[in-house]
Amino acid sequence: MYKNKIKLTFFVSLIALASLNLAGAKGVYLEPEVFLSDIFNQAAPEPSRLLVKGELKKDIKNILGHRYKSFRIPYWQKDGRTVWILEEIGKELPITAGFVVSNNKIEQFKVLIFRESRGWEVRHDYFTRQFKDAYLKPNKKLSQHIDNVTGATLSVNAMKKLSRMALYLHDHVTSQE
Amino acid sequence: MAKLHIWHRYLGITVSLFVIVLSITGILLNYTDALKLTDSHISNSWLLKHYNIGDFPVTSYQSNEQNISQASDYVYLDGNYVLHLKEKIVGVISIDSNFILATQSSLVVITNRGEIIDEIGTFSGLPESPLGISITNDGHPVIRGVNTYWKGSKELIAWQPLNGPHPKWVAPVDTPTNINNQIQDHARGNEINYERVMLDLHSGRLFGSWGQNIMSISALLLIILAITGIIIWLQKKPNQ
Repeated sequence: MYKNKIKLTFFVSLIALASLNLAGAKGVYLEPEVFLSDIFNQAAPEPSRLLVKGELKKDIKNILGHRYKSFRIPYWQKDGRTVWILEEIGKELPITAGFVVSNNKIEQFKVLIFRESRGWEVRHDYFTRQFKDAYLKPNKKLSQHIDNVTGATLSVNAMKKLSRMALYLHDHVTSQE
Repeated sequence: MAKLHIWHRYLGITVSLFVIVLSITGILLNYTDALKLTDSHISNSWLLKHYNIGDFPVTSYQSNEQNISQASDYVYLDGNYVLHLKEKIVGVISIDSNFILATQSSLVVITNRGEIIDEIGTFSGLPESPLGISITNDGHPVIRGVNTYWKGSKELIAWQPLNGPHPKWVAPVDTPTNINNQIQDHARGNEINYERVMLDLHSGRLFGSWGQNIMSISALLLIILAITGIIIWLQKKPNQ
């Protein structure tokens, strides 16, 4: 009887641990369509496309440390806000993140798709809300300090780079109007 | 006391080799990033065979007189690796010397050097996930949706339903032997990285369940060794 109780406790703990692990697993946290729909109250505008060339290409390379994965970047613009769905590799696989920028400040940031096996903590609100109201300083660094997450350094760095890139792209698009 | 000494000595000798393996692999795993263990891949044929890495299924398409193939997550142009793509390619066409790879979730536009120009998904302008792709006589892309065929602008931005007959959907072709061999060599050589080997060596999994059990027993013996060592030290007289 006593042995059975021990076995039961062991298996329950094992299942609890496994579910904890699954809760933090990689995957699609928010479909980009849903993210856009939420931001624009079910009325997302048609996407525009920004061609990455010249000075823009050079500046993006400086921010990321390498060239962006594609030469054209889709974005959505309405009522002074721009939305960017960008990708950057954390350790081995790309992380997809959505940024809403208005008045040259980050209004909202969400991790949409996480494909890596480690570093998924960056999707949590306690991490993403640190970016709220961050803006780009003249040296193209973020205006505020972002705390690291132990064990997720590469994912954190990737998200910091993408946030700088989103702010830079917003400025580039809106300053040309 | 003498008996404990003997036990302690024999235990030490027994586990020494395994402790060395555990320690070295442990140290290396602590510096995975600095040593770039995830970026370096094994090419040793014995190890690849041990991990059951055999031939990869290759799907090829012919476009613009070039062969575009996919094996595992890798995309190849005439057998040369150009791109990492998780989604399965369902067809390839070419417009203005660029290739348009239709995957199960998007259209990926690449140059003939494999650089991505654009990726158009359902959230960024594509009306539906493509089940197939084709091109009209006047050079417009057509994608096959579940119930609708969509004709796109050459820039792949504007799409409208295609009424009437659709062009023939692009189908896979046989992969030429020399290209297949080139692809197999690359794909096999990029499958297992050194971090995985170190982890499997550290846990003993490299040698199956036996290896795993031996490493676990070694770890337990190491604990016993530490305890017997403390007991021997505590029982030693101060003047000894």
